[in-house]
Amino acid sequence: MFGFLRSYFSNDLAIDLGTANTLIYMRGKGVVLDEPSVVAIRVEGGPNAKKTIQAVGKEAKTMIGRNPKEISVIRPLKDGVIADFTVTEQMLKQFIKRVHESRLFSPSPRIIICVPSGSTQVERRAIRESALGAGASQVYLIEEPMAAAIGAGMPVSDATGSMVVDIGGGTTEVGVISLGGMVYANSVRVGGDKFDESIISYISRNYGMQIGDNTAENIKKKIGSAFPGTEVKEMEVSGINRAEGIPRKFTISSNEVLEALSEPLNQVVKAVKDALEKTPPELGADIAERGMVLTGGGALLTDLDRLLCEETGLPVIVADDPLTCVARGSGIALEKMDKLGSIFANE
Amino acid sequence: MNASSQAKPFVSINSSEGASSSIPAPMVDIGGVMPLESLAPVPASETPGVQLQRAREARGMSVSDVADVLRFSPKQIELLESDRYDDLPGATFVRGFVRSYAKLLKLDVIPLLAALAPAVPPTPIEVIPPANMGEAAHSGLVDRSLAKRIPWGTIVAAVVIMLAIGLVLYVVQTAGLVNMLGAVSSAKVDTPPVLPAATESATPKSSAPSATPEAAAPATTSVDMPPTTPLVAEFDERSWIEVRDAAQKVIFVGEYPKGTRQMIDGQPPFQIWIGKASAVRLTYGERKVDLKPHTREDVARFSLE
Repeated sequence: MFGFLRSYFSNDLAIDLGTANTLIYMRGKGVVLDEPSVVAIRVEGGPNAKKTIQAVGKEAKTMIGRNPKEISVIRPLKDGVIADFTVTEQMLKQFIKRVHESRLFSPSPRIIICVPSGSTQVERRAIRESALGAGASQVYLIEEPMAAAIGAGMPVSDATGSMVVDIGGGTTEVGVISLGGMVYANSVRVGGDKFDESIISYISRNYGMQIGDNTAENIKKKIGSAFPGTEVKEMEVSGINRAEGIPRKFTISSNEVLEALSEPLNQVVKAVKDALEKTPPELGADIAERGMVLTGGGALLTDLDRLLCEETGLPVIVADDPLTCVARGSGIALEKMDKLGSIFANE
Repeated sequence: MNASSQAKPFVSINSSEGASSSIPAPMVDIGGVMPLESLAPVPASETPGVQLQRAREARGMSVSDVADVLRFSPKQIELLESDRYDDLPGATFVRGFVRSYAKLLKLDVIPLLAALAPAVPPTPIEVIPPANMGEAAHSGLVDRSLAKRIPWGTIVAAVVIMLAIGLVLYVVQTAGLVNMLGAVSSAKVDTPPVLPAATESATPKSSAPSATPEAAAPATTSVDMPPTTPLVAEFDERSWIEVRDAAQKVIFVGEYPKGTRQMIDGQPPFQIWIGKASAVRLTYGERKVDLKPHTREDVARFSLE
C-alpha cells in the first residue's frame, strides 16, 4: 500500500554479509559498497564506560593488530555466521547509512541478505534480526551458493546441472543447482581465514616467528598457490622471533606457502568430492561437460582451479570478478524479487 | 632459512628461476617448456580462437594435451579455437574456459577477454561508490554511541508536520465558519416559514417570568445588518414571532428554536406578535422591552416605537 512511499525514502539492498568483506548492491545502481567486515570500537574509561564506533571497513581493517588498549578491533563474523550480534548490527547500520544519500529520515530498505547453506536456524535468525535491527523493513534470506551461481551467470533456472564452489572468508560453499533450486548444498567452515591461520601456524612451527593476520593475508595474496607451479615466488616478511623476542625479517617461498595451505585445501577438495558423489547422475553428466565454477575470494588463490581440476578430473573455471559474485547474484535476485519467489531460503 | 637481518624492503616479491631446484616437480609440466618472453606478441586483429590455437601450436602442444590438463573435451577445445561460441555452454563457461586456457598457455588474459567481449559479453561488475562514500569512516566519536539513539530527526519532522496540519485545519475551519454563518443568518431572514398563527395560543401557563438579562447570549451574530437602532430578539425557548414595520409589511416572521438571537431591522413603529412571550427577550437599541404589560395567555401583542 505504501510501496511508493518506501521507494521514495529508501532503495532496496542486497547484502553479502561475509566473514571477510561486506558488499552491498543497491537496486538499479549495482554494487555500491565493498568494505572489510571490521569494526573498531573505542571504550572510554570510567565506571560508565561509553562505547563508540571509531571506524568501520577499510579504516578499521588497517587497525587490526595495531590498536591501543582502549580501541578494540572486532571482526563480528566468524565462519560465515555472526559471532558478535551487537557489533554486526552496528556495522550493517553504518554501511546502510553510507550507501544512502543523507536524508531526514533514517533509511528502512527491504534487504536480501546471504546466509551460508549450512547455517543453523539460530544463525539465520541472528542474521535476519541484525538486518532488522540495522533498519531493514523486510528481510529475505538467500543461500550463498544460489546467489553465487546467479552472480556467476550460470543457467540456474534451466534443466541442467550447475555446480558452484564459493570459497569465502569463513566458509566454502558447494552447491549443485538445477531448475532454480538447490539439488545439493553443503558448506564447510574453511575459507580465507583458515588459509591465513595455517600460514601463521606454519611459520610459527618452522621459523619460530610470530606474524600478524594482515601479514599472513598478504603472503597468501602475493605468493600463495594451491598447486605446484614452475615459477617459484619469494617474499620477505617480518615478524617477532619467539626465542629472541625481537622483530626479524625472513624470506618465505611459494612452495612453503603451498605446504602450509595443504590441510585447508584438502578440506575444500573433500567438500567438492562429497558434492560430486551425492549429485544425481544426470546432473553429474552436465557438470562433467560444463565444469564447475569457482567464485569468492578463494578463487583468486593461484592455481586453485588447477588443483580442483587435477583432483576431480573435471573442468574447473573461475567466474568473472569472483569477489563480487555473491553480491551481484543477490542483486539480480533483488531486481527480480517480485517475480522469483522460490529462490529465497527459509529460516 | 631462519630469520636474518637483511636490509630489504618489508614486502617484496622475487620470481627467481634459480630457486626452482629445491622445489618439487609439478605434476603436469607444461608451463616450463618455454619462457613467456619467447612468445611472439599476437596481432590484436586475430580472433581469440585463432590466438589460442597459434599459441598452442607454438608450444608444440596438441589439442589432446590441452584436454588432458583442462579436462575440457577435445571437441570443446576445437569449437573454442574455431570461435564457435554458440555451441559451447554459455557465456560464463566460455569466458572461464578462455581464462583457464590462456593461463595454461601463459597468454595475457585481459586482451583475450576484451576481444571476446563482443561475442560473449561479460556481466557488468563495476563498483559504483555512493555520493557520500566515507562519511561514516570519519573518526569522530561524538554521536556514534553503541547505545540506541533517539531519532531526533524523525521526532522534529513529525512535530513540524503536525503543526503544519494543525495550522491548515485552523485556517480552513475559521474561514469556513465565517462563510457558513453568513449563509445561515441571511437564509433565516430571507425565507419566512409559513406557520399557523394560532397554534401557540393554547398554552395553559399564564405566569410568564420576566426575562433574565444575565442569561448568556448565544454566540451567533448577524453580520450583514446595519447596527442602526436594532431590535434584538433572544429566544430562551422555542417560540413564534411576527414583526411588521410602519408600512404594515411583515419584516420578520417564523418559529425559532431555543438559543436563537435575531436582529430585526426595519422602519419603526413595529407591530410585534409573540407566540410565547415568557420565552422571548426583546431589546430595542439599548432599552429592554418589558413584555409583561402586553401579555395575555402568554401571547404578547403590542406596538413598539
